[in-house]
Amino acid sequence: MKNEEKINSISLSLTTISLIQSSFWGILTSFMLYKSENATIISIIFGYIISLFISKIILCFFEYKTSKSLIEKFKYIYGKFSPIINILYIVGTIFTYIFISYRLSSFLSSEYLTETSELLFYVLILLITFYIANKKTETLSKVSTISCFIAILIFISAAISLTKEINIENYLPLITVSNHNILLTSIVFSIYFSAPTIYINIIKKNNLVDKENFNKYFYISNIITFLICLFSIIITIGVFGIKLSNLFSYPLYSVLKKIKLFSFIDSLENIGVMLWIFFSIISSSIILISLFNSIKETFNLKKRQNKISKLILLITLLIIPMILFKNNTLVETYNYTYIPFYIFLFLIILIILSSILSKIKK
Amino acid sequence: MKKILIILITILLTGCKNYTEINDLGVVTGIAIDYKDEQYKITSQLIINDTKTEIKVYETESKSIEEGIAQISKLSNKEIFLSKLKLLLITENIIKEKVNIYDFFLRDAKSNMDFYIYLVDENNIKDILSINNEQNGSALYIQQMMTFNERNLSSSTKLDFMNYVYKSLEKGINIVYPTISIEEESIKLSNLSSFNYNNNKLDFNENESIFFNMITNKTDRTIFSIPCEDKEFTLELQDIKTKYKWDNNIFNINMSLTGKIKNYNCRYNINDNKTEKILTNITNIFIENNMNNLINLMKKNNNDFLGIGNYIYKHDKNYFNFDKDIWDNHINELNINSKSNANIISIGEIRK
Repeated sequence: MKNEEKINSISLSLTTISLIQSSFWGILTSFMLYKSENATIISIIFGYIISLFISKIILCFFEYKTSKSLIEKFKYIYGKFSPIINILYIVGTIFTYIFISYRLSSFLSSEYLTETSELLFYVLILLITFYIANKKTETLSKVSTISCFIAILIFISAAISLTKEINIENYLPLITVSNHNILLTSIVFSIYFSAPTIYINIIKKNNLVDKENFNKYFYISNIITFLICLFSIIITIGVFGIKLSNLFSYPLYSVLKKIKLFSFIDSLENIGVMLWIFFSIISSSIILISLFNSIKETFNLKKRQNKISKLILLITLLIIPMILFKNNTLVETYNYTYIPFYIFLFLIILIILSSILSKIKK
Repeated sequence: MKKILIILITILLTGCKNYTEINDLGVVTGIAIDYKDEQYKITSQLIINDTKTEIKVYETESKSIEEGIAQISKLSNKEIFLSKLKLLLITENIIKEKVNIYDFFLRDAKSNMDFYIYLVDENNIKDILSINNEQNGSALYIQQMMTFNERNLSSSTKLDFMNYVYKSLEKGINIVYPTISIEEESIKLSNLSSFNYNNNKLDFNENESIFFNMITNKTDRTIFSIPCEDKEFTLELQDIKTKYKWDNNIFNINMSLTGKIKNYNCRYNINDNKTEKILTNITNIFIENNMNNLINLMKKNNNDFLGIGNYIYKHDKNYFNFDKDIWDNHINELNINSKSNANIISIGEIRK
């Protein structure tokens, strides 16, 4: 059991909260509100139900060959085609990392230090997540657990503070868009909700101290995440109304500006937004660990080669956004939502295909 | 890795870049925007900290609000700081020309969006922003004046920026503006005003302003002198709550409230059991009459300032095509019922 890390099921399942929430807060909300308006509430509920089926498949794949890592499973299932599959998985993961971290950096740049480049924030996030990822899964799971509890506490206090601002009339009329839009946002939500949980594969199931409890904790975390998503949208629409919510790039952040304590303590949105920062940093770190492991196992790298590969990865993660986000059209339009959607969709198809092939192989 | 990270953070996050001394900041507390001949006239009230704290007013004209603010920065030789903005004054021209002023404040991340909007006469702008400059400045003075008004008479009401944007975007509702004027060289909080779709201005009187606040749940307390035969009694109204209902194409407004007698001159014996019933009845008739007056005012001026159209859209969106037709032109066809349910709970400390 050389270099084998042991973590518990609660810690691993709590990381799924960060993984899902990071893309929901930054990338998905404004898109969903724009497409489905008030019916976003319905889309989230439908999307969650669909995501349960996908999560079940992801969990089944996690339980398959519990002594093998994700890449080893791919190698076993795809045989000589596995290098192609592995590389496709690595490329998808690289872009997932970039889209999640860059969204946070563009938010920090637009809301806090408007004259500072987004790329500078991105570099800082890259360095922080790189540092955390180097500390291995065990450390990350501990950081993630603490951050998750703090984030949930922040969410609950923010939600309670905003309850008095809610106007029930703002939820009416509930359906103002076509069924097509509701269906589209439900599917997009289900993909965004389930795909990031693929990264629980950063650890082999055998390395969980209490692996028999994992599924239970996974679904509990899943429900908590769903409730956070649902209530954050309900509160945003209830406070702002759909037309006003649709004006903002980051509606969940803008609604936090309404929080005031004792009518004189304001600017509490800056505490509230820590929630998204926590989620993004943790999930980016998890994705980075997954990348480290995948590259190492795909190319069977030795210790020294592994260090060089990490450096190359760091440079790659830095260069791609410089090319991809050279002009602002991608960052500031809803196209930003579609690219991670297609990447997540690809990852889900890959896991579903792998599950089917693993069943056939059995 | 750790060392590199520490060095980078020390260099990049110590905040030396774009550092501004507090003495170089011009803190904007009040701003007025007028629009004429495709030019924005911006008047700003700035708190300036040089050798001593001073309040100064600057005026500029420009093609956009952003340009106007930049010019004020140039005039005052200060970097403009908008986060402490408390007051935004707009003129009739802004409303009639349908100028989108919220775009600038929403788009600017440095604006905290926590300020109030008032309608003013374009000729009074400079006076309003200059009048209290020896003390704390008119922005804070107006804010205080509104707080006292809301606590007592409720003849005016706050219009916060986010509510202004909200109503600008919603269907079937016209914005009602609090207004400020100058009288005898001092600032006065006047009654409310509203504009319909065709930009016709409607000025409320004091009674109408108070009843608008009551019907739209913007106040839960006020005072009225209610006639009883040839005399009067003064009633302090509390816990005012209005509910709307859209039922069988009839719009119902139901107001419930409690009252405390503050002054009593009527002929009825206040110790008589029947008197309470009579006074309650008189109060209900008084309130219903005033509610109906306001509804008639709305219908006569084709101005849905109560937001009845908005309520109907939310509860029965197929009743009217808000996207293709002008709701204000149809408000007079609407069947509206009003009802008051008053409850007098106290006659005060004396039995006379």
